[in-house]
Amino acid sequence: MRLFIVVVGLGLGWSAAGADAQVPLRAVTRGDATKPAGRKMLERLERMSPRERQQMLDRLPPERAKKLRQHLDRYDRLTPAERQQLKDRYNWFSQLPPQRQNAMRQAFQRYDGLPPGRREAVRGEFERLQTLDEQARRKRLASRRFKLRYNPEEQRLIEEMSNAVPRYPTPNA
Amino acid sequence: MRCTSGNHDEAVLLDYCAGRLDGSGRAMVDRHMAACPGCRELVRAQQDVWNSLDCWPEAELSPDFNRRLYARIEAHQNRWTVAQWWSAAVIRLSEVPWWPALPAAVACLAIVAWLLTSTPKRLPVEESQAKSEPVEMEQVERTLQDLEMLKQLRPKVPAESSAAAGSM
Repeated sequence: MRLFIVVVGLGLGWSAAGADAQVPLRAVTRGDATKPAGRKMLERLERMSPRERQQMLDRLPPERAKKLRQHLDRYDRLTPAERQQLKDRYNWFSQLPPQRQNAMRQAFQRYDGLPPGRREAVRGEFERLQTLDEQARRKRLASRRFKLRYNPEEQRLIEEMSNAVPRYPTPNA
Repeated sequence: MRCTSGNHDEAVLLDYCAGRLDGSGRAMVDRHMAACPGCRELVRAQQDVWNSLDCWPEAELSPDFNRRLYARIEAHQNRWTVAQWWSAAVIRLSEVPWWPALPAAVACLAIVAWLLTSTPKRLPVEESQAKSEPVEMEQVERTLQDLEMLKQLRPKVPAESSAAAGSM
C-alpha cells in the first residue's frame, strides 16, 4: 500500500511539473485572470532594463523596431504625472469592449493620416463631443457649424471616434 | 619446561611461586629443587616475573570504570553489523508472502507508464520562445500604439477609472 501511494505521488508530481512547463506561454498569450494582457505588458515594459528592451527590439524587423523604439522613447520622455495620466487612460481604455477598442484604433489610424493642423481641430471636437449628452451630441453633429468646420471625411471620422467611446457629460457642457 | 625427573609439573611449581602450597608441599618442592636444576630454573624465572610485576605501578582507575567497561562490552555484543542486518532483512522478507502484492505492483507500473506516456511533451525552450515571441511582440506593439493613441486623442476618462488605475 505504501509503495502504491509513493508511486501515485511520484506520478502526480510528474504531471504537475509538466503543467508548470506550459505556464510562461500561457501567461504571455492569455495573461492572468485579474489583469488584461495589455496592462501586464505595460508593467513589463516599465520594468525592462535598456538591455532587455534592446534585446526585444533586436528580434523585430528594422522598420518595426524603429517605430517601436520611437514609441518607447516618447513614453520614456513623459513626466511622472503625464505617465500616470496616460496609465489612467489606458486603464479606462482596456476596460472598453473589444469592439469599441478596435473602432477607436481604426479611427485613430485615419486621424493619424490627417495634416497636423487638422488633427488638432478634430481632436478638440472629439473631446468636446465626449462631454455632451446623446441629444446634444446628435444636435452638434448635425449642426451647420460642424459641417462648415470639417470636411466630409473629417466629419465621418469625428462621428466614428465619438461613437466608439462612452460619453461623460459635464453639467456646464 | 619439563622437570627432568618427571615428578613435578609446571602447575605445582607455579603454585609454589604464588605461595599457594602448604608447608609440607613447599618442603617437598624445596627438596626436589635442590636436586633438579630444571625446576630450580623455572621457579627462578617465575619469581623474576613476580618481582617485576611488584615493581609495576598500578594505574588509577575511575570509580565507574567497570560499569562503563561492561556497558561497552554489552553494546558491542548487541550491535548488528550491516551484513547481519541484511541477512536478517532477507530472511524476514522471504517469510512474507509477496504473491498478494503482485497485482498492486502491476497496477502501479501501469499507472506510471500511463502518466509517462500521457504527459504532454514539453516544448523545447527555443520552440516555446519562438511561438510566444510573435504573440508577445504583437502585444508590445499593440500596447504602445494604444498608448500613443490615448496620448494624442486625450479621451475624457471618468473619475472612477482614474481611481481604479491608481492600483496599476
